[in-house]
Amino acid sequence: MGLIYGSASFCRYEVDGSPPDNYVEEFPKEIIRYAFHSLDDLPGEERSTGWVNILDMFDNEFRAMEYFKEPFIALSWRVDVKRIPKKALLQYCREAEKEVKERENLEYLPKGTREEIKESVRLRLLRRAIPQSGVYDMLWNLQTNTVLFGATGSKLCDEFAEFFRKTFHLQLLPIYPYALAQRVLIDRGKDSALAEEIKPLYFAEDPGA
Amino acid sequence: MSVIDEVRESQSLGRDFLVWLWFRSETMEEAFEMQGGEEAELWFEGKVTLQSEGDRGVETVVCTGENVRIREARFALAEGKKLTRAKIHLRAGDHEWVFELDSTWMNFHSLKTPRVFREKGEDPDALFYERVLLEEKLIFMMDQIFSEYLEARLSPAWDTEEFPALMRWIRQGVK
Repeated sequence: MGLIYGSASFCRYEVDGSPPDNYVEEFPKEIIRYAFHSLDDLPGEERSTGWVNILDMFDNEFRAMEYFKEPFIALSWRVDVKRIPKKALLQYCREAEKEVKERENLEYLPKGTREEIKESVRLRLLRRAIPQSGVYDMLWNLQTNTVLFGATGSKLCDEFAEFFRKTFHLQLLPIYPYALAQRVLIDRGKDSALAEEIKPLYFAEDPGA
Repeated sequence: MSVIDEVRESQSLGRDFLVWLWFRSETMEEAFEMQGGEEAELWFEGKVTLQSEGDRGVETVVCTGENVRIREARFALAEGKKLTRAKIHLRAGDHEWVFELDSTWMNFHSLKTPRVFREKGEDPDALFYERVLLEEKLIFMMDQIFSEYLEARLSPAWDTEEFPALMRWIRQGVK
Protein backbone atom coordinates (compact mmCIF):
# COMPACT_ATOMS: atom_id res chain seq x y z
CA MET A 1 0.00 0.00 0.00
CA GLY A 2 1.46 3.35 -0.91
CA LEU A 3 1.99 5.90 -3.59
CA ILE A 4 3.41 3.39 -6.05
CA TYR A 5 1.62 0.12 -5.26
CA GLY A 6 -1.91 -0.56 -4.04
CA SER A 7 -4.32 2.08 -2.76
CA ALA A 8 -2.84 5.32 -1.48
CA SER A 9 -3.60 7.59 1.44
CA PHE A 10 -1.52 10.71 1.60
CA CYS A 11 -1.11 14.28 2.77
CA ARG A 12 0.49 17.15 0.92
CA TYR A 13 3.16 19.69 1.77
CA GLU A 14 4.70 22.73 0.20
CA VAL A 15 8.47 22.99 0.62
CA ASP A 16 9.49 26.26 2.24
CA GLY A 17 12.54 27.28 0.22
CA SER A 18 14.36 25.77 -2.70
CA PRO A 19 16.93 22.99 -2.85
CA PRO A 20 20.52 24.24 -3.20
CA ASP A 21 21.85 24.60 -6.76
CA ASN A 22 24.23 21.70 -6.13
CA TYR A 23 21.54 19.41 -4.69
CA VAL A 24 22.62 16.59 -7.00
CA GLU A 25 25.91 16.49 -5.08
CA GLU A 26 24.61 17.43 -1.63
CA PHE A 27 21.45 15.38 -1.25
CA PRO A 28 23.04 11.93 -1.83
CA LYS A 29 25.34 12.55 1.17
CA GLU A 30 22.41 13.52 3.38
CA ILE A 31 20.22 10.65 2.17
CA ILE A 32 22.98 8.14 3.00
CA ARG A 33 23.50 9.86 6.36
CA TYR A 34 19.82 9.41 7.18
CA ALA A 35 19.34 6.04 5.45
CA PHE A 36 17.48 3.34 7.31
CA HIS A 37 19.46 1.03 9.60
CA SER A 38 18.13 -2.31 10.74
CA LEU A 39 17.44 -2.69 14.46
CA ASP A 40 19.77 -5.71 14.32
CA ASP A 41 22.59 -3.18 13.86
CA LEU A 42 21.36 -0.97 16.71
CA PRO A 43 21.50 -3.06 19.90
CA GLY A 44 19.23 -1.74 22.63
CA GLU A 45 17.15 0.42 20.28
CA GLU A 46 13.42 -0.21 20.00
CA ARG A 47 12.80 2.05 16.99
CA SER A 48 14.66 2.89 13.83
CA THR A 49 13.65 5.31 11.05
CA GLY A 50 15.31 6.21 7.78
CA TRP A 51 15.20 6.36 4.00
CA VAL A 52 14.92 3.33 1.73
CA ASN A 53 14.46 2.83 -1.99
CA ILE A 54 10.83 3.57 -2.94
CA LEU A 55 10.79 0.50 -5.19
CA ASP A 56 12.56 -1.80 -2.71
CA MET A 57 12.15 -1.35 1.05
CA PHE A 58 15.19 -3.58 1.72
CA ASP A 59 17.57 -1.32 -0.22
CA ASN A 60 19.11 1.39 1.95
CA GLU A 61 22.30 1.81 -0.07
CA PHE A 62 21.02 3.63 -3.17
CA ARG A 63 24.03 2.55 -5.26
CA ALA A 64 22.57 4.06 -8.43
CA MET A 65 20.96 7.07 -6.70
CA GLU A 66 17.62 5.67 -7.86
CA TYR A 67 15.78 8.36 -5.89
CA PHE A 68 16.50 10.92 -8.61
CA LYS A 69 13.56 10.39 -10.94
CA GLU A 70 13.25 13.66 -12.73
CA PRO A 71 11.43 15.87 -11.75
CA PHE A 72 10.99 13.92 -8.51
CA ILE A 73 13.01 12.85 -5.55
CA ALA A 74 11.29 9.60 -4.63
CA LEU A 75 12.06 7.77 -1.39
CA SER A 76 10.31 5.71 1.22
CA TRP A 77 10.55 6.47 4.90
CA ARG A 78 10.84 3.21 6.80
CA VAL A 79 9.91 2.96 10.47
CA ASP A 80 10.76 -0.27 12.30
CA VAL A 81 9.56 -0.83 15.84
CA LYS A 82 10.26 -3.68 18.23
CA ARG A 83 7.74 -4.00 21.01
CA ILE A 84 8.17 -6.01 24.20
CA PRO A 85 4.82 -6.87 25.79
CA LYS A 86 4.69 -5.22 29.24
CA LYS A 87 3.48 -8.37 30.95
CA ALA A 88 6.27 -10.46 29.40
CA LEU A 89 8.85 -7.93 30.63
CA LEU A 90 7.33 -8.05 34.11
CA GLN A 91 7.30 -11.83 34.20
CA TYR A 92 10.93 -12.21 33.06
CA CYS A 93 12.02 -9.48 35.51
CA ARG A 94 10.31 -11.28 38.40
CA GLU A 95 12.03 -14.55 37.47
CA ALA A 96 15.43 -12.87 37.16
CA GLU A 97 14.99 -11.01 40.46
CA LYS A 98 14.01 -14.24 42.23
CA GLU A 99 17.11 -15.97 40.88
CA VAL A 100 19.40 -13.18 42.13
CA LYS A 101 17.68 -13.07 45.54
CA GLU A 102 18.10 -16.84 45.99
CA ARG A 103 21.69 -16.82 44.79
CA GLU A 104 22.72 -13.95 47.04
CA ASN A 105 20.41 -14.93 49.88
CA LEU A 106 18.66 -11.54 49.98
CA GLU A 107 15.11 -10.77 51.04
CA TYR A 108 14.92 -7.48 49.10
CA LEU A 109 16.88 -6.13 46.14
CA PRO A 110 18.10 -2.52 46.08
CA LYS A 111 16.33 -0.28 43.54
CA GLY A 112 19.53 0.08 41.48
CA THR A 113 19.91 -3.68 41.17
CA ARG A 114 16.27 -4.08 40.14
CA GLU A 115 16.77 -1.45 37.43
CA GLU A 116 19.92 -3.20 36.17
CA ILE A 117 18.01 -6.48 36.00
CA LYS A 118 15.14 -4.81 34.14
CA GLU A 119 17.51 -3.29 31.56
CA SER A 120 19.32 -6.59 31.02
CA VAL A 121 15.98 -8.43 30.62
CA ARG A 122 14.76 -5.72 28.22
CA LEU A 123 17.88 -6.11 26.08
CA ARG A 124 17.56 -9.90 26.09
CA LEU A 125 13.90 -9.79 25.04
CA LEU A 126 14.63 -7.09 22.47
CA ARG A 127 17.10 -9.40 20.73
CA ARG A 128 14.33 -11.97 20.40
CA ALA A 129 11.62 -9.55 19.24
CA ILE A 130 10.76 -9.30 15.56
CA PRO A 131 10.35 -5.70 14.38
CA GLN A 132 7.19 -4.40 12.77
CA SER A 133 7.96 -2.41 9.65
CA GLY A 134 6.03 0.56 8.30
CA VAL A 135 7.00 1.98 4.92
CA TYR A 136 5.67 5.37 3.83
CA ASP A 137 6.38 6.70 0.36
CA MET A 138 7.55 10.25 -0.25
CA LEU A 139 7.46 12.08 -3.56
CA TRP A 140 9.07 15.47 -3.84
CA ASN A 141 8.22 17.19 -7.10
CA LEU A 142 11.08 19.62 -7.64
CA GLN A 143 9.18 21.51 -10.33
CA THR A 144 6.19 22.38 -8.15
CA ASN A 145 8.24 22.13 -4.92
CA THR A 146 5.52 20.07 -3.29
CA VAL A 147 5.73 16.80 -1.39
CA LEU A 148 3.29 13.92 -1.16
CA PHE A 149 3.71 11.75 1.92
CA GLY A 150 1.99 8.38 2.06
CA ALA A 151 0.35 8.63 5.48
CA THR A 152 -2.33 10.82 7.10
CA GLY A 153 -1.91 10.36 10.87
CA SER A 154 -0.92 13.69 12.47
CA LYS A 155 1.77 12.29 14.77
CA LEU A 156 3.48 10.31 12.03
CA CYS A 157 3.25 13.21 9.57
CA ASP A 158 4.81 15.61 12.11
CA GLU A 159 7.64 13.17 12.74
CA PHE A 160 8.17 12.75 9.01
CA ALA A 161 8.27 16.52 8.45
CA GLU A 162 10.96 16.79 11.12
CA PHE A 163 12.95 13.94 9.53
CA PHE A 164 12.66 15.65 6.13
CA ARG A 165 13.95 18.90 7.67
CA LYS A 166 16.93 17.12 9.22
CA THR A 167 17.80 15.44 5.92
CA PHE A 168 17.24 18.24 3.43
CA HIS A 169 17.46 21.32 5.69
CA LEU A 170 14.11 22.55 4.37
CA GLN A 171 10.84 23.01 6.20
CA LEU A 172 7.61 21.33 5.05
CA LEU A 173 4.43 23.42 5.23
CA PRO A 174 1.23 21.36 5.34
CA ILE A 175 -1.30 22.00 2.58
CA TYR A 176 -4.77 22.24 4.13
CA PRO A 177 -7.88 24.03 2.82
CA TYR A 178 -6.97 27.55 3.93
CA ALA A 179 -3.35 27.24 2.78
CA LEU A 180 -4.53 25.78 -0.53
CA ALA A 181 -6.99 28.65 -0.96
CA GLN A 182 -4.20 31.18 -0.48
CA ARG A 183 -1.99 29.30 -2.94
CA VAL A 184 -4.76 29.09 -5.56
CA LEU A 185 -5.59 32.79 -5.22
CA ILE A 186 -1.94 33.77 -5.66
CA ASP A 187 -1.68 31.49 -8.72
CA ARG A 188 -4.66 33.35 -10.18
CA GLY A 189 -3.00 36.69 -9.57
CA LYS A 190 -5.35 37.59 -6.73
CA ASP A 191 -4.81 38.76 -3.17
CA SER A 192 -4.39 35.75 -0.87
CA ALA A 193 -6.17 37.69 1.90
CA LEU A 194 -9.41 37.12 -0.02
CA ALA A 195 -9.45 33.65 1.55
CA GLU A 196 -10.35 35.31 4.85
CA GLU A 197 -13.52 36.71 3.31
CA ILE A 198 -14.95 33.23 2.83
CA LYS A 199 -17.15 32.77 5.88
CA PRO A 200 -18.65 29.48 7.13
CA LEU A 201 -21.97 28.43 5.60
CA TYR A 202 -24.98 27.36 7.65
CA PHE A 203 -27.38 24.85 6.18
CA ALA A 204 -29.58 24.15 9.19
CA GLU A 205 -33.28 24.91 8.83
CA ASP A 206 -33.27 25.77 12.50
CA PRO A 207 -30.37 28.22 12.94
CA GLY A 208 -29.95 27.04 16.53
CA ALA A 209 -29.28 23.45 15.39
CA MET B 1 -1.01 31.37 14.75
CA SER B 2 0.18 27.74 14.68
CA VAL B 3 -0.79 25.49 11.77
CA ILE B 4 -3.08 23.42 13.99
CA ASP B 5 -4.90 26.55 15.20
CA GLU B 6 -5.21 27.83 11.64
CA VAL B 7 -6.58 24.46 10.48
CA ARG B 8 -9.12 24.49 13.32
CA GLU B 9 -10.11 28.10 12.64
CA SER B 10 -10.62 27.54 8.95
CA GLN B 11 -12.00 24.00 8.87
CA SER B 12 -15.35 25.22 7.56
CA LEU B 13 -13.64 25.96 4.24
CA GLY B 14 -13.04 22.26 3.52
CA ARG B 15 -16.42 21.19 4.87
CA ASP B 16 -18.34 23.72 2.80
CA PHE B 17 -16.28 22.82 -0.26
CA LEU B 18 -17.36 19.18 0.10
CA VAL B 19 -21.03 20.19 0.39
CA TRP B 20 -20.75 22.41 -2.67
CA LEU B 21 -18.99 19.61 -4.55
CA TRP B 22 -21.77 17.19 -3.68
CA PHE B 23 -24.39 19.74 -4.73
CA ARG B 24 -22.61 20.54 -8.00
CA SER B 25 -22.03 16.88 -8.81
CA GLU B 26 -25.75 16.18 -8.50
CA THR B 27 -27.17 19.26 -10.12
CA MET B 28 -24.78 20.43 -12.81
CA GLU B 29 -25.52 19.39 -16.33
CA GLU B 30 -22.01 19.91 -17.61
CA ALA B 31 -18.76 18.38 -16.44
CA PHE B 32 -15.98 20.46 -14.87
CA GLU B 33 -13.79 21.91 -17.56
CA MET B 34 -10.13 21.46 -16.84
CA GLN B 35 -7.19 23.47 -18.12
CA GLY B 36 -6.38 22.22 -21.58
CA GLY B 37 -10.03 21.58 -22.37
CA GLU B 38 -10.38 18.14 -20.81
CA GLU B 39 -13.65 17.47 -19.00
CA ALA B 40 -13.93 15.88 -15.57
CA GLU B 41 -17.09 14.24 -14.32
CA LEU B 42 -17.40 13.79 -10.57
CA TRP B 43 -19.90 12.07 -8.32
CA PHE B 44 -20.34 10.99 -4.70
CA GLU B 45 -20.90 7.29 -4.23
CA GLY B 46 -20.41 4.83 -1.45
CA LYS B 47 -20.01 6.82 1.72
CA VAL B 48 -20.42 10.24 3.30
CA THR B 49 -19.57 11.04 6.91
CA LEU B 50 -21.18 13.87 8.87
CA GLN B 51 -20.50 15.08 12.39
CA SER B 52 -22.01 17.38 14.94
CA GLU B 53 -20.77 18.56 18.27
CA GLY B 54 -23.24 19.03 21.07
CA ASP B 55 -23.89 18.36 24.74
CA ARG B 56 -23.45 14.65 24.12
CA GLY B 57 -20.03 15.11 22.50
CA VAL B 58 -19.22 14.43 18.86
CA GLU B 59 -21.99 12.59 17.03
CA THR B 60 -21.11 10.91 13.74
CA VAL B 61 -23.47 9.82 11.00
CA VAL B 62 -22.07 7.60 8.26
CA CYS B 63 -24.30 7.14 5.23
CA THR B 64 -23.31 4.31 2.96
CA GLY B 65 -24.80 2.78 -0.12
CA GLU B 66 -24.34 2.67 -3.83
CA ASN B 67 -26.05 5.99 -4.20
CA VAL B 68 -25.57 8.58 -1.50
CA ARG B 69 -28.19 10.76 -3.09
CA ILE B 70 -30.10 9.56 -0.11
CA ARG B 71 -32.33 11.65 2.06
CA GLU B 72 -30.64 10.70 5.29
CA ALA B 73 -27.39 12.50 4.51
CA ARG B 74 -29.00 15.70 3.28
CA PHE B 75 -31.38 15.58 6.21
CA ALA B 76 -28.34 15.53 8.51
CA LEU B 77 -27.00 18.65 6.75
CA ALA B 78 -30.31 20.41 7.32
CA GLU B 79 -30.06 19.41 10.97
CA GLY B 80 -26.76 21.25 11.25
CA LYS B 81 -24.37 18.31 10.92
CA LYS B 82 -21.10 19.00 9.11
CA LEU B 83 -19.82 17.00 6.17
CA THR B 84 -16.40 15.71 7.18
CA ARG B 85 -15.52 13.05 4.63
CA ALA B 86 -16.84 11.70 1.33
CA LYS B 87 -16.08 8.98 -1.15
CA ILE B 88 -15.67 10.53 -4.57
CA HIS B 89 -15.42 9.18 -8.09
CA LEU B 90 -13.77 11.33 -10.72
CA ARG B 91 -13.67 10.46 -14.40
CA ALA B 92 -11.63 12.21 -17.08
CA GLY B 93 -11.37 10.66 -20.51
CA ASP B 94 -10.94 6.90 -20.11
CA HIS B 95 -9.57 7.24 -16.60
CA GLU B 96 -11.43 6.95 -13.32
CA TRP B 97 -10.15 7.68 -9.81
CA VAL B 98 -11.92 6.65 -6.59
CA PHE B 99 -10.90 8.17 -3.27
CA GLU B 100 -12.11 9.61 0.01
CA LEU B 101 -11.45 13.26 0.78
CA ASP B 102 -11.53 14.60 4.32
CA SER B 103 -12.61 18.15 4.99
CA THR B 104 -10.14 19.13 7.71
CA TRP B 105 -6.84 18.62 5.89
CA MET B 106 -8.19 17.70 2.45
CA ASN B 107 -6.04 14.60 2.59
CA PHE B 108 -6.68 11.83 0.10
CA HIS B 109 -7.57 8.42 1.52
CA SER B 110 -7.78 4.95 -0.05
CA LEU B 111 -7.10 6.33 -3.52
CA LYS B 112 -7.52 3.88 -6.36
CA THR B 113 -5.96 5.27 -9.49
CA PRO B 114 -6.84 3.99 -12.95
CA ARG B 115 -5.26 0.57 -13.35
CA VAL B 116 -1.59 0.57 -14.28
CA PHE B 117 -0.80 -2.48 -16.36
CA ARG B 118 2.54 -4.04 -15.65
CA GLU B 119 4.20 -6.44 -18.02
CA LYS B 120 6.75 -8.97 -16.87
CA GLY B 121 10.25 -7.59 -17.22
CA GLU B 122 9.01 -4.05 -17.71
CA ASP B 123 11.22 -1.23 -16.48
CA PRO B 124 10.00 -0.48 -12.90
CA ASP B 125 10.57 3.22 -13.58
CA ALA B 126 7.89 3.07 -16.30
CA LEU B 127 5.40 1.81 -13.71
CA PHE B 128 6.57 4.49 -11.28
CA TYR B 129 6.03 7.32 -13.73
CA GLU B 130 2.68 6.05 -14.93
CA ARG B 131 1.33 5.73 -11.40
CA VAL B 132 2.77 9.00 -10.08
CA LEU B 133 1.56 11.01 -13.05
CA LEU B 134 -1.96 9.65 -12.49
CA GLU B 135 -1.79 10.80 -8.85
CA GLU B 136 -0.48 14.21 -9.81
CA LYS B 137 -3.18 14.57 -12.45
CA LEU B 138 -5.88 13.88 -9.87
CA ILE B 139 -4.42 16.47 -7.49
CA PHE B 140 -4.16 18.98 -10.31
CA MET B 141 -7.81 18.44 -11.24
CA MET B 142 -9.04 18.61 -7.65
CA ASP B 143 -7.09 21.84 -7.12
CA GLN B 144 -8.76 23.30 -10.21
CA ILE B 145 -12.19 22.30 -8.91
CA PHE B 146 -11.32 23.85 -5.53
CA SER B 147 -10.26 26.98 -7.39
CA GLU B 148 -13.64 27.01 -9.14
CA TYR B 149 -15.29 26.80 -5.71
CA LEU B 150 -13.31 29.80 -4.46
CA GLU B 151 -14.30 31.74 -7.55
CA ALA B 152 -17.96 30.88 -6.94
CA ARG B 153 -17.71 31.89 -3.26
CA LEU B 154 -16.09 35.23 -4.09
CA SER B 155 -18.53 36.01 -6.88
CA PRO B 156 -21.50 38.38 -6.29
CA ALA B 157 -23.72 35.61 -7.73
CA TRP B 158 -22.97 33.43 -4.70
CA ASP B 159 -25.52 35.12 -2.44
CA THR B 160 -28.15 35.66 -5.10
CA GLU B 161 -27.98 32.44 -7.13
CA GLU B 162 -25.58 29.67 -6.08
CA PHE B 163 -26.22 29.56 -2.33
CA PRO B 164 -30.04 29.73 -2.65
CA ALA B 165 -29.86 26.89 -5.21
CA LEU B 166 -27.67 24.88 -2.82
CA MET B 167 -30.17 25.42 0.01
CA ARG B 168 -33.03 24.33 -2.25
CA TRP B 169 -31.09 21.15 -3.06
CA ILE B 170 -30.57 20.40 0.64
CA ARG B 171 -34.26 20.97 1.38
CA GLN B 172 -35.23 18.61 -1.44
CA GLY B 173 -33.44 15.92 0.53
CA VAL B 174 -35.53 16.70 3.58
CA LYS B 175 -38.97 16.81 2.02
